[in-house]
Amino acid sequence: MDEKFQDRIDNYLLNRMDDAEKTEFLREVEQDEEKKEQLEFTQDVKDSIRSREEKLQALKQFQRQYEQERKTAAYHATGTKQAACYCPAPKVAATEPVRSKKKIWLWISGVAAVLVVGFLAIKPMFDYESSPNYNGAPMEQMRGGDEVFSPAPADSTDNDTIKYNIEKKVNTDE
Amino acid sequence: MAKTIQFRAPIQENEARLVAGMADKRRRTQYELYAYCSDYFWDNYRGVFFAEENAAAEILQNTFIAFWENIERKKIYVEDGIVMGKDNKLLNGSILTYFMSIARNKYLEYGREHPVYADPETELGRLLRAEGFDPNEYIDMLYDSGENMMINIIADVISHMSPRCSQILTKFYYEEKKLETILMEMPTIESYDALKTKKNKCMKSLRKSAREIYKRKINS
Repeated sequence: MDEKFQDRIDNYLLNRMDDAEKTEFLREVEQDEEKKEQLEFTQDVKDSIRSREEKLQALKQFQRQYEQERKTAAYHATGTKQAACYCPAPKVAATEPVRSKKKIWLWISGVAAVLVVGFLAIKPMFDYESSPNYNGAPMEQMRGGDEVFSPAPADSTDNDTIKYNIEKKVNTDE
Repeated sequence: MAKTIQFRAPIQENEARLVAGMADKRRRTQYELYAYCSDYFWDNYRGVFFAEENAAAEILQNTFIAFWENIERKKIYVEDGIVMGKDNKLLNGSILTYFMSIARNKYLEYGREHPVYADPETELGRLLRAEGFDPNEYIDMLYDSGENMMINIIADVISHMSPRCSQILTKFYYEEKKLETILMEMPTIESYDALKTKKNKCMKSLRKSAREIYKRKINS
């Protein structure tokens, strides 16, 4: 590599030449393939460094924003400060549907719970209204209705008149 | 003449939007594309290559820069809402697969500098086959042939320069500072001549590496 010519290339690329020098320089480059290649290479290096530096500056901002968003996502997910660490591999696209699915299930089970509780609370009222004499329906359910107690069998002492009389006699208030 | 109607899945529409936004230099969309690629990279890089997190972060950074430059150079672009590749061909797979192909190449470059990392080719092959992707179809898209190949190689070599060379050349060519100013900012370099020699050595080494890689690629 011709170091003296490299200085002139640098001056040309960094606009440190006047017009006359530029014209002379370009004429010289056109006549020499090696110098032309050296100029093109330096131009490519300059362009590549500029491109890379601009992108690195942007990437610094992107990385900060990315880490911040991931930290926030981790914090929201667990509600603990310990979770707010740098987690490089969270899958945002995957967590969103999961969260919404959970919400849907929570909502459905909430509605179902309200319906069941409501049904249990309202059901006895309907039973009361459907009772034939509209009185004592709940009590009937607790103690058992007429259909619960079968008539006393024929050999039962419940129909025994003697017992009845004795009981009548014992009752002094009458 | 009948026009062919190309049906696109929502994911393809979204990717086309991201690529178009990147090309149009829309900062918000550029960030969206970065987050989209980063999420996929961190979830999947272990299936493509073996690297610790710091190395993976460096590979991700270089991969995204190369991906961005490929969009700028129209190696991939959007036409009629469809992501296209080289020679006006459709990009059949997801841009994420394309992105991971670049990541793999960056990893191989990284591996050359840090030989401790093995290259689990079979793991990559398994992943790519599972996605129905043939990396050989995309080799041409990753590295242009002819004149553009050289600028790709230079960009790659620059990304692997020593920190000292990177610092000097960035100050000189990007910040456009004079050597006298750079000398004041870099007190470890003792003189103007030493700085100038160092800068020329960096350029010489850069040129030598780029030429070697270029020849190797041409021969292969």
